[in-house]
Amino acid sequence: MVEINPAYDKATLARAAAHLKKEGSVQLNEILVPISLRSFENLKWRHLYNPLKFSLHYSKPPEVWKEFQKLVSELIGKKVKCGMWCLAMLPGDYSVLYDSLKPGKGFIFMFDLNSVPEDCGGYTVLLKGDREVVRVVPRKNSFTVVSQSGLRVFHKYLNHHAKHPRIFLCGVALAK
Amino acid sequence: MEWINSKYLNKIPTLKEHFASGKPFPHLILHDFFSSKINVVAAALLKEKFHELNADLYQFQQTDDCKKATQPAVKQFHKFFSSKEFIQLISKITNTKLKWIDMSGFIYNDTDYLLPHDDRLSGRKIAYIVNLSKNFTKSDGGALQFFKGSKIVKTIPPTFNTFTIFRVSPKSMHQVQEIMSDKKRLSFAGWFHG
Repeated sequence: MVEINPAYDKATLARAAAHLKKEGSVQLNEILVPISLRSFENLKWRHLYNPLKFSLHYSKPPEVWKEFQKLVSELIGKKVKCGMWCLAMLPGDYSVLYDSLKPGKGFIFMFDLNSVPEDCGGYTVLLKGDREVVRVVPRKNSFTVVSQSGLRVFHKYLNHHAKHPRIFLCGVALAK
Repeated sequence: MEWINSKYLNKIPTLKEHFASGKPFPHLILHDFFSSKINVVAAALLKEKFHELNADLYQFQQTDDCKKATQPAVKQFHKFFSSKEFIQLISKITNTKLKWIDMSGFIYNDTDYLLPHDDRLSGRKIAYIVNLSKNFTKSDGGALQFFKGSKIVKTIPPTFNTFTIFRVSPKSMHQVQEIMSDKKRLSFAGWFHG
């Protein structure tokens, strides 16, 4: 059972949508009621490794993805089609910018299951050219949406001081 | 060649063979390569100004090119390393026409790293690293590692006064392991250009 925190009522989401439109990104904290986090238990992980591009762990996303699709749609104000991945970063995991990496389209969104201190890495950086535009530092039970049109994305190397992996649902939403 | 350990100077043909036959790509690892003068250079390098660099691919501290060094010992080492005589020696060992070098000092502290890449950029022919850190053990990290495909097939610990060279090519994928302790990994590194 997945449930959005009832504090995010229509009026609150409308304010969040306005913030996203104005600033290009928004982060909603305590987004799910705590029991919903259980839907991320018992995931089966597969290591995806291309040394020049990424080292990440992948799992099929749990059913919760449907709720996030609705939420993104509400924040963007349009029906969307989404691609979604459940990813884990263990110490030593990363993704980098590489020549054939194309700038993004639409919106990227992330739901984080664990908090990870910024000095451990594991955060997501969005760049316009070489300029950092947005940094998403993993915060437990937070949902972040960023307009990524023309931006390139990498996930900073997670170092050995991280006490927990970064586990997050990551998706791309394109307006229909 | 008073900077080089004399035991290497009469072994050039052997070094040439070893370099060419290096796997997974041509390379050489030369322990105790420089004379004892390198101890003074290591101490002087720590007094140079380092800049913090932090990006997707790396995290470490780097000096400007050592041709701008302020410490006399670093200047002298750079003068030798960029000399015609030394560049010719490396040209012979690698069987590659080399013209000039660039050189920076590096410090990797706890959590610093350099992710896999192949170094290819116009003019770079031979990459090099002069390790100047002492007392590194396996658990401290900081090793230079060579890849074959997506597998690490060679690990070179950062041993003091070890000079490593390798040919830059599409095969020369390598990384520097994350530092896992409070030790400083100190080195010079750069390229011989053709």
